[in-house]
Amino acid sequence: MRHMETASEQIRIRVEGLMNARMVSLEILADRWVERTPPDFSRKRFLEFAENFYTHYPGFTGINWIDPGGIVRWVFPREGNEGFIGNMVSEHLNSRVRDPFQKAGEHLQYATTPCAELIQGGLGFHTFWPLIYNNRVQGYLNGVFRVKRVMDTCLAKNILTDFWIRIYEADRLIYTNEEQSHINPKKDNLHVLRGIHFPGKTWQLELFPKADLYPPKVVRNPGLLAFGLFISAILSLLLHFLNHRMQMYRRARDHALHEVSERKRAQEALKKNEKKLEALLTELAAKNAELETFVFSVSHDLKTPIVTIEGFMGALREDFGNLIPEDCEKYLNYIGDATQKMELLINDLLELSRIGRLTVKKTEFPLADLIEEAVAALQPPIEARNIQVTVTQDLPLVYGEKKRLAQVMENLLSNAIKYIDKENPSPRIEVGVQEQDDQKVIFVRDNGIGIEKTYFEKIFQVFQRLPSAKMIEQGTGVGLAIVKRVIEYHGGRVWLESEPGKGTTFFFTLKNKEA
Amino acid sequence: MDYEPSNILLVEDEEAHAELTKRAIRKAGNANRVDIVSNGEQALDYLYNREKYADKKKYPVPGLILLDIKLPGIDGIDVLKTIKEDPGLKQIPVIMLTTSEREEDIVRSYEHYANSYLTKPVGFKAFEEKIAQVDFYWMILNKRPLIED
Repeated sequence: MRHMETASEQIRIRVEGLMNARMVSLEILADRWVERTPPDFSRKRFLEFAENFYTHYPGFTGINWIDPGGIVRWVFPREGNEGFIGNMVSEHLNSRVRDPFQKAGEHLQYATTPCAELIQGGLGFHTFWPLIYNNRVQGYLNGVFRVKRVMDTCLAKNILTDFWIRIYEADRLIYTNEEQSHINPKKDNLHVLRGIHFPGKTWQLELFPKADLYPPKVVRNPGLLAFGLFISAILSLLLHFLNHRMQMYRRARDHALHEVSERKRAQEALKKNEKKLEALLTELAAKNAELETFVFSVSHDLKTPIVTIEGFMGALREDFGNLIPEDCEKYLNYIGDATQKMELLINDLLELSRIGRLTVKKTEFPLADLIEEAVAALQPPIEARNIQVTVTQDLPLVYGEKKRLAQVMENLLSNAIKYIDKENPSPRIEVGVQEQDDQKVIFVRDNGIGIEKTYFEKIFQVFQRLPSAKMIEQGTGVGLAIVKRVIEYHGGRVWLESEPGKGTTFFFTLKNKEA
Repeated sequence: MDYEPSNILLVEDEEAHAELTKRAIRKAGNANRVDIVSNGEQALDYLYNREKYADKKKYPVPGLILLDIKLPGIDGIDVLKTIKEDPGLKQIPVIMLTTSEREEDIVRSYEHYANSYLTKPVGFKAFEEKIAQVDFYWMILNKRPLIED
């Protein structure tokens, strides 16, 4: 009796061990197939894999590939399996095959069929492993096991000679080594039942001693029994170890898959965001261009009536000058001044809309040139106000659109001139460069009326003028906006320091020429 | 009879600007006739002696065309194109006279063989001076081909 226990345990361990190993190998194969990016689902590669597994892991009847549509395409080995090629598994006549296959596709998990008559011949079962890449099923790996072949691989000769073996799945007898039924279970109650479990299956093993062997062998050799138990224990341990390894492997795989899909999701989200940002930037650029074009054409349309006003004011004076009374002349002058101011405004607006829209080649040139030209251009008001202008020595080269930067320098200088109080006994302007945080900072300093801190940002906006500017006649409120746009267009920064009553210093930086 | 054409065709939709331009031409001492049309269609009618300009004696080929760009309907560039593609008209000097400083307009004008591109200056004196210079250069200094009548 104990001998029978040992034998049945041995059978259980061997069948479970073999099947577990085959299932794992199929799983590995399925994973390997999709781990390339993009997966290389070639017939050649599949057959290489299949042959390798078939040869080194006995027990398989067939290793096949089923396409995503459920049709068997590639089989290994060809002999014995050729009848399977072209079969539509998804519409298999036997629902016991069809259903697990569909389940594998739906749940994206391996599925095992119950035992049935195989096309390859004999009784056996299929396992289906969905090959998933990019969240899509790229086909199925199909392992075919004939029960007889599995048992032949597992069972030792002495067991076959000593015992009658029956294996049931559910209530169906799927394997036996009897040529004809020798046993009458009712009469012969000396038999052992054992459960055999492996992924997707539970079998019942029934073991009967062949008549002539029992009972003598049973208790006669306790040493052998002990040895058997020992072996059994070791095999159990081995099985446990194997199972453990498989679980570990599974967990690692799940984890890796999870990580991969997480990373993919993150990448996709990033891509989506990038696209959104790109679209937004394009939209913004288009809006900006549109606005600039608008400003440009509006400015032109505004110019047309000014040409008319100025023209006819001139014509009036010329043709009827001697008829115009003094008061009327005064009024005409008001109109004239207003028109001229409007013209200045329009020109400034036009200029502002041109920055960045019209690009001239950037060059490298001495900063001293810029300052010299700006001072020369503003010589009349400088002399009229008796302003002392000092320029520091050893000025560096700067890089940019010379005409625009000249405009910046001129605007800053004329701004400084404007905001020096007429009553100031010693008006001064200083222009130069200082090192600050490893950067060359160009500055224009005056000892004018100064600016309240609350206006530091505002003065760079179009048409923003200081309350104190009321007493200053000229100026359109665009000059500093142009300065800011030009400097920012050049990749630099502009800011100011000021104290009311003491003066103002404007600073700006420029990018160095790219290497 | 061959003759040297001397009348000026001014194509200008802004009545005030037309008036100013005509006045400046007069002041420059040019006594030639200045005919004003206010849109592109009329300009072409004038040049091809159609509709109310059918009288060829009264409206001969002009010696100079001052052409605004922004016109209602057929715009200045279209008129320029028609003139410069017509063998009978293409030798007439066409001066683009506009408030537009758009680079695009300048480029397009020269692409279609405008003889000159001028912007209307703001300011009475500047305007008069520029027109006087145009008149002096194109009507006096510049030698034009005789036109078969």
